[in-house]
Amino acid sequence: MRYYKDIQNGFIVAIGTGGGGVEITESEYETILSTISNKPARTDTTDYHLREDLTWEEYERIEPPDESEPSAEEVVDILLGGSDD
Amino acid sequence: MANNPYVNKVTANGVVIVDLTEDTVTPSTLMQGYTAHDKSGALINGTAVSATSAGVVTQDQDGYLVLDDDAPSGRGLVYESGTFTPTEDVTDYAIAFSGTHSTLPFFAIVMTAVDEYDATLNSAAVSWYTNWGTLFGSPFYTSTVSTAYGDSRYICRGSNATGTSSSGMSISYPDSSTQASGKSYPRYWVTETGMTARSGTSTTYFRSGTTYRWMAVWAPTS
Repeated sequence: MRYYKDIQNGFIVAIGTGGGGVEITESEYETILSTISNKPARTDTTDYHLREDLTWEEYERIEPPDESEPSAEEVVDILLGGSDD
Repeated sequence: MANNPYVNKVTANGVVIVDLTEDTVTPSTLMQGYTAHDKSGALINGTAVSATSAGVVTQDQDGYLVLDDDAPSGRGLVYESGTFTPTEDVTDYAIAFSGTHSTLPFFAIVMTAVDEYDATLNSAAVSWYTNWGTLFGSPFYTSTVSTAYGDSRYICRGSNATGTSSSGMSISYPDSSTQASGKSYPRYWVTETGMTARSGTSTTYFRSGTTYRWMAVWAPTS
């Protein structure tokens, strides 16, 4: 059986059996599989990329909403010098 | 030597020079295009077709799909299979075929890597397989592959980057906006978790840490 790892931009995005990817040994496959099974829990805003050295790199999944962002009307008011009368 | 018009054993001065009488070669076990002499001494022409490295899929007497790595390729659907385990949730995943094929597969299946002969999974696969047989002639059709995959909505959508060969394919499920009206879509995705909506859309994705098994099937080669 052929084992492989699929690397994109320096991260292991998948492992598998069959064609494709970079061929690895069964031992390396099992090691990566074990690492994947111990992936840190993601949150609504963060997830983790698996580096080739089998460490996890946290990244931001979703841009958090900026609650302080002004509305369109407020932006117009600001541009027009405000309307605090 | 009774009634054998051929020579299958030669002796000289009590010494056996040639002895074919225990040979086991037959036309069906000799590769097509080759000749030999069987145990009678008769010249035979081979009829065997080489099996692919991935084997074929057939149905057994109970209707179950059976993967047979030893059957000649002309006797069933050629398949390839493999697995993938994403490290992150992804909406699609490109798989590569190890063999060379002249067409895209005309069906493919992705399932979680539980026993592929599990009744539920196999039932779905057989239903799918049967639908194809109904549409294009059962049990194995050979002449309408191009028509079949001409509508990519009937197979796992996508292909390789060019869409013109079958060295690999990207697998994703056709969402409602791309499904043809009035068509029944076989359930390509057979997973323990089923199809999961993401962010309120019909887009499906593969979950990190889950190992998926895939199988792609082509018409018989001859």
